Amino acid sequence: MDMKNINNIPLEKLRLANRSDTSHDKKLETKPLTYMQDAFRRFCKNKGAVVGGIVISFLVLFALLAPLFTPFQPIYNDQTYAFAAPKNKIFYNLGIDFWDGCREKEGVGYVAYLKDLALGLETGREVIKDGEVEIDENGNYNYRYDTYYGVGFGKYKIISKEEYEAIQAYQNETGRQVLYPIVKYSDRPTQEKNKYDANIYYVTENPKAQTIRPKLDKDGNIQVNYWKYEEGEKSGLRADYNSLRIEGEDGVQENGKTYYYAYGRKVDGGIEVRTEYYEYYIYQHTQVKKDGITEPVFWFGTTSTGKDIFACLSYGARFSFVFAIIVAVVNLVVGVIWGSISGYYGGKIDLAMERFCEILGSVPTMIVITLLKYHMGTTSQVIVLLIAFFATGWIGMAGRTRMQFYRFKNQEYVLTARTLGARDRRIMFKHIFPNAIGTLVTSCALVIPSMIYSETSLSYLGIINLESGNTTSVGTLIAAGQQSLMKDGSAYITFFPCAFLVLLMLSFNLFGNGLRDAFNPSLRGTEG
Amino acid sequence: MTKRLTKIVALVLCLVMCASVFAACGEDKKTTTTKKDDGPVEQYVYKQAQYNTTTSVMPSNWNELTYRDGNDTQILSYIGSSFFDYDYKFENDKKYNEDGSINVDGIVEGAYTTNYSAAAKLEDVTALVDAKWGYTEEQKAEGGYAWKITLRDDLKWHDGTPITAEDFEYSMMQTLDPMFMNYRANTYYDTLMIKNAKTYFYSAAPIYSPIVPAYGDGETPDYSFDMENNEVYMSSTASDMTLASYTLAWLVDYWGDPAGYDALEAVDEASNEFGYMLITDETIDLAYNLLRYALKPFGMDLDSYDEATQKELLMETLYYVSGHGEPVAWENVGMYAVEGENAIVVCLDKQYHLLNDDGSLNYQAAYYMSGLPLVKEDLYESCKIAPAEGATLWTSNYNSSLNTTASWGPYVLTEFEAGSHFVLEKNPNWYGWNMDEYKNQYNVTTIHTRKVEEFNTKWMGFLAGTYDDASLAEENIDEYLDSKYVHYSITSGTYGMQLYSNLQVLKASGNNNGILAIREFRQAFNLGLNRSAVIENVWPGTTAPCFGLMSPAYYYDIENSPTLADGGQYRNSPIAKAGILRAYGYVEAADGTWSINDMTGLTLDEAYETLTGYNPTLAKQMLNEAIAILEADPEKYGYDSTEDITLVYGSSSDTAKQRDRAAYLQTVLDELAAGTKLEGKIKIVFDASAGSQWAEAFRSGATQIGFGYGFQGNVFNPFDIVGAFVNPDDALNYHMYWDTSEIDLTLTMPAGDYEGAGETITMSVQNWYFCLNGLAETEDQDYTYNWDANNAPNEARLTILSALEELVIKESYSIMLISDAGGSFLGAKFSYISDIQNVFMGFGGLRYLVVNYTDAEWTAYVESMNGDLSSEYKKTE
Amino acid sequence: MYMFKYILKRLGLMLFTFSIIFVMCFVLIKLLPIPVNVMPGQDPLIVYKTLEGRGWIMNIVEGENGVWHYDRVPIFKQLGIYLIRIFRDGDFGIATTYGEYMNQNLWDVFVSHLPPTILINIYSSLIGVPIGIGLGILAALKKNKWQDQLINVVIILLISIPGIVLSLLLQYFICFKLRWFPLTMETSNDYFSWPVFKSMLPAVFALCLGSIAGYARYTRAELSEVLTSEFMLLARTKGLTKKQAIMRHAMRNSMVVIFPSILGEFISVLSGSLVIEKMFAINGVGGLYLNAITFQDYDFFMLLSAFYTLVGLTAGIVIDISYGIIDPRIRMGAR
Repeated sequence: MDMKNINNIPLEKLRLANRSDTSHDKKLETKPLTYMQDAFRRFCKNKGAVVGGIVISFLVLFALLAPLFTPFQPIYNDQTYAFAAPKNKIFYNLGIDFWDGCREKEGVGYVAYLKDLALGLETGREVIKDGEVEIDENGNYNYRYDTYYGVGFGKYKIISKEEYEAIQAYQNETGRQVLYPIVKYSDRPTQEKNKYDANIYYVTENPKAQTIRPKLDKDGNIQVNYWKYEEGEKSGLRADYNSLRIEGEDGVQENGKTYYYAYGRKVDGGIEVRTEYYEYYIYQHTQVKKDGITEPVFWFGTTSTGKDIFACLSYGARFSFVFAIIVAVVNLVVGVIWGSISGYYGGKIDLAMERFCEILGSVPTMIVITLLKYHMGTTSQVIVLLIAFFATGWIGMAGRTRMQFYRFKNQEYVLTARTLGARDRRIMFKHIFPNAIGTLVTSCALVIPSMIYSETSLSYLGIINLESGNTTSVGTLIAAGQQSLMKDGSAYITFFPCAFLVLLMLSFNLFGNGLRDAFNPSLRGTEG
Repeated sequence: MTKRLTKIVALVLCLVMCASVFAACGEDKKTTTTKKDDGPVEQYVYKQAQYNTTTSVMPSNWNELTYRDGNDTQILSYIGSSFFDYDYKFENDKKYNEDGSINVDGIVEGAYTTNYSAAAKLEDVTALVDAKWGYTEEQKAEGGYAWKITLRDDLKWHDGTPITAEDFEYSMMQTLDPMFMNYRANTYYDTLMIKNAKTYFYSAAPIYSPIVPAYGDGETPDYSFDMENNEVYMSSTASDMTLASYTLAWLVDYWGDPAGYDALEAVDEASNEFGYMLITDETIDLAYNLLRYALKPFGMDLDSYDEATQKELLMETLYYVSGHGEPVAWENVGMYAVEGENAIVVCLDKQYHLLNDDGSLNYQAAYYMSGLPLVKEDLYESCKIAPAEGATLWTSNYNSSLNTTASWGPYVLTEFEAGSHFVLEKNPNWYGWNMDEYKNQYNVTTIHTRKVEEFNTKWMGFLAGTYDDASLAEENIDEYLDSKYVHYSITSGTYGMQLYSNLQVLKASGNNNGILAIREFRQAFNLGLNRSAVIENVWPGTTAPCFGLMSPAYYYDIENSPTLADGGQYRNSPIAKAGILRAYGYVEAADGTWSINDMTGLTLDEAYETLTGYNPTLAKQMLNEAIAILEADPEKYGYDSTEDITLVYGSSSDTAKQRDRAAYLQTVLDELAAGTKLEGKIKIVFDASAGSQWAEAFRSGATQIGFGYGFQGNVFNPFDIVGAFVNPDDALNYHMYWDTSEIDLTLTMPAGDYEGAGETITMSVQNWYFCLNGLAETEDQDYTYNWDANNAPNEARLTILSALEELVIKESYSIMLISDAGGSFLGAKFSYISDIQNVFMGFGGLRYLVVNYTDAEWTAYVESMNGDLSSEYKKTE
Repeated sequence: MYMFKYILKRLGLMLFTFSIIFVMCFVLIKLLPIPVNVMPGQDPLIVYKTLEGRGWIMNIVEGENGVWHYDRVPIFKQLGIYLIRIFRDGDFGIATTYGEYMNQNLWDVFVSHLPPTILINIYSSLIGVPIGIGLGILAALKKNKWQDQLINVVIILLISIPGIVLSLLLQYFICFKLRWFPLTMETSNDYFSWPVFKSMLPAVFALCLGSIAGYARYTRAELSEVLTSEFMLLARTKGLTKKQAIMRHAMRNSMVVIFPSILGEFISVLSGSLVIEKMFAINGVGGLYLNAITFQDYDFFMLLSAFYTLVGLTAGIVIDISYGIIDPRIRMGAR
């Protein structure tokens, strides 16, 4: 073949070499890269993985730092403020119809609408946001309803004399109206379930009826039904009251006489009062409990039992992370060691170990949990759950590792390593294990989300209950939220924990994939 | 192995599995036949439709003899009938208008009538029955113990076979069959108290007595019992042997020699299910061997005695079967069919007042004697299942599937698939169709019940018109509270807190909670509970506070309730109100006015209105008194002041709700103890390990606080249900250790013409309870007044009942907090006949249900609302 | 021949393991407290006599304060009786405490509940597996391009939202709002008629979301690894088109992980998903196992756990063999 016409290799490039000049590798200008550095460099190249890493760190920060931003804790629960919609002061003050503690009420019956309207009239609060009401074609009402003020007065409350005095002092000092006039006992509706409902301050059509219907006067207004007494009239049953009055200092004029409203009814244990729950809540937490809560504002809203979701989610996330990491580490260590031994040695050892796994694997975890709960009655469920997960969690990992070892142990380079006299342990952990690391990392990365996953179904089925004191978990939150998913406007209860879980899964997956590609030696130099 | 082979192996494996499954379901025995509805022709006035509903737990055995809970009655209440039943009372008894429609406006509110249904006649035959039933002359004079029920002669099963009195006798014999241990048998010997029913039911158990009669010191023992040809037994657990008043097991255990345990083990191994070992040639040495170790504690060595003495010593430990619990033949059981007449006679131990003086039916007839068990003989015999290996119990799957069901009620089961659904259709052979009383009723042709466990699916189905009812729950109460489709009904349930206070058990428990045995502490806890806060935190929704033991649903005199000022309701009676006020610390002045704290001169009703049961000042005072008693004698209460006091909160399940309740109670106790020596020292520990045995755990003292345990039932007899608090032998009583037979109560009986009128009597609390229910004689009490419904006026009975209630509240073992009320939806397809809840008829039930849309009209209506009725169901007018 | 000997050995071992598991399950459930629930107003002696009649307890003694004492019949004696009943009479017993199937023959109850579960699982596998693998291949080929990221995000969404929420939302939209399907499964038993099949579809969609996501992820992971191995390079240099190389070589290699899970899915056909069956009111076997334990119905629990253990163990063997078939280099259990 003629040297000259080798196509596209230009002649001048060639130079005659003689025996004496030996060609050496050029000195590497780039710095030497260790395996780890190279992995990290390749990891940073993969944009998805980096985003995943950032999101994970954000979630971990949320779990750790969130409790600092909120005075609420999981143990806190307030049944009256159950199903309170998410509320953020900024959005509320801006008047935007988003994150403002309100929810849409559609197709509301006339009586229910009247009740919300009456509440707003008495307290002057915007129970119906900006008063905008739209009546649909078959006569039902649609409006945006404020879940914080809509609670109104809850039930009649019995407080001690001291607290009755203290509230009056607080009212005089701050000018905030907590106590409202009460209805005389005999004027109240008679049905047991309505007798203690403090929202009914108006005259009703039929006090005996099951469902209470306000009785409007001739021009369609609510008629107030307060307990009126003439100036100076003495009564053994009425508690004295000298603080802010909604009827004004000089009372109400009625056909010539001035009347005042009664604000407290004496009962055997103290005074029965009617308090607007929003104001009473502020008084209770700022003056009495002094637990740092100044106002009922729940950023992520509250659950069906009145727990603050923001606090529950952060404590729950923290618990789920710690719990999952412990389980993941144990499963990884035990699983990998077990899997590699049984995978590498095969033969009798493998058969025996496999049988042990099969036996342990088919122990009905449900019974183990019930038995543990039976014997460890008083300790919390967490330990029970840990034992249940430890007992069988590592078998999955062991199975995967064993599979990988079978896959690689007869590869050429392993055989050569053995012929070169490498001892078993070295072959296992220097040669075979790095190849298996890919699948292990992927499956390991998903342990945390799948842990939350099984928490969810276990608490949904009622097998375990992790909620005691301040411990709760993301899974419990989702299970509790699912019950009331169908309730109008309470999808947020499930939305926040699920959003957390989706973010977690997404980031862990990207991060896991990035990690696996980074650690896979064979992928070196082929980044996409 | 060639590749092809391996493929086949995998394929074969899964084919085999699927094939076996389809084959199994192929020859599926179930035949779903749908019966055509050819009911008797009736003047069509009302629309007919199918009623679709759901259940979260399917019924499994609607067999009158063994049905367990509310789920099973879903079918049971439609496929059976009763001798007597209730009905609305109509103005001047005009039930039907001219066009045959029901005179709805004529319904008298709050009133009812009792009528004949499956029975044609009811007679009191106490004086006429055979002398063998042992009624005394006095009982024969009073009457009310034996009743003759004549049946209608057109009673038929759904397949047409006639029903006679003999069928009822056969069914009662099956109910009390000792080999079956039927779950509902105790209704006929505990509640209805049929003569000899209980002994017949338990007659299978043998009675063992010692073969050597007991002898005192100095008397010569009689060893004449012929051991050779009589069966003799030894028992390690029986303690009534002649040798010593201990059990052999105890003696061996006392001596503690390991060989002794082996001997004991050997004997137990050979014992029968009653714990007695038959002495045979093989087991005789086991008996001697055990005897050897049983004698050691007495310092006696068996081997040192001669043969004869050893035999005598052994005889002193042996038993023989002296009888089978007074063997009772069926003839002696107080229930039989009268020959020649289609009638049943029932002889009872308890007196009932089933007929009014004018011979008309009293309400008790339809309440206590509404029916006796009835099973179809041929079908029942075929459903008997013999005991399996190692078991002795017979079972039956009668009335537990489509083919094993027999109906004699208005509906018949036409479809049933376990775990999925069941269908009931009108029973053409029901006797009721030829009775004027049931004309134009039961307008529901078919009841289709589908099993749906998930609440959301059920709720969506209701809004989509697929199902016709739904329950009011936390998830829908806000939007639908005032809907016109929701109906509220008060139940007889009262719920509260139980405090375990048996001192010995508390001292032994090591929880340092002997303070529970002090009444003042329990009262402090009671008065420290703010019922309005309990409702807000623990039971939100439609519950209401309740201060007494019985809820407002209880009637002390249902018969003439419309005519009484307080409507015959116990809670509204002045005597009951006075009792409650006294229990919570109100003081009655001489002039009849009441006072508490700084409020004086209140009338009864004014005082009752100010009652809340929450008195923090009085509670703290009581707590300090309790602490003083505790510290005066710490030894007696096993109290160690350096330790915390632990109260174990018992719960049947470990749920967030239960733990929140325990946490709430902790805040109540902390508030109560604040400022006293016990501040911060009373701790509540949550324990759900007992699971379904929460009641046993509480009764044995393992748990001390039972929150949410409640009572309900027997709505017309509060005098009987109070036994659950004051009668230690009552199965419902949680505090049987409180021996009310030792506690005296003095009461002055109001004037009137009855036994003991106007006298001031002192007797034990238990004695008062038995007199109140006319059981003093049968329970052989010191005083045997009989003040049951017919022998004492209401005023006298209420005085006793209210005094008992006051005592129980003051003792504060049981602290009742709330009475329950529930709400449920009825869809637009149907509506109830009346909106006011009637005592017996409720809202009219399925019998009077009015059909607004036929099935076709309903589908069209739902379509017109494009499948979403939520806005319609939110309507309030 | 090696494989045949290995299978025989494994079958022998399986019987050994099965008997250990069987005895262990029996002892475990018998250790739980005996379910004694005396309803208010009911004579407690009847309840204890019934338990005694069933051969579980003996020496019933009524203590004071309404607390009853009894001794438990020794567990191994009960086991002996149970084994005699199974092998001599072939009678799996009747339900004793599981309320809904009281006194009904357990084998009939179990078998009659199998068809709905099997059908739903088969339909969902038929849909889920092919779509899953297809998406996996697409994602692997278009690695790190927008298709890959999109598929990845969709998969994560499907996996991460828990089943109870996802199937409820699915039911709400396609059954309640759009009314394409009925809310619950039809109650008639001819499963191949159109209305019944149509009523099963919502449950099938809810179930197959999980398997689609699972297969897509596994296929993508395996395929992307295999695509970078040398023999693929060789195949392309030998002139095979991209499609041929992938189909014949890449897929074969990545099947090592995928095929066993398909087989595994086949076996899991027999155990229904409790949540889906509860949500769509399907009369399958999903809830039986959990309820048998909660109600402590001994015979029912033993029948179910024996059946599922047997199926699980056979599946284990079949999967191990399949490794050998897929990748001849792998000799499961070889030295």
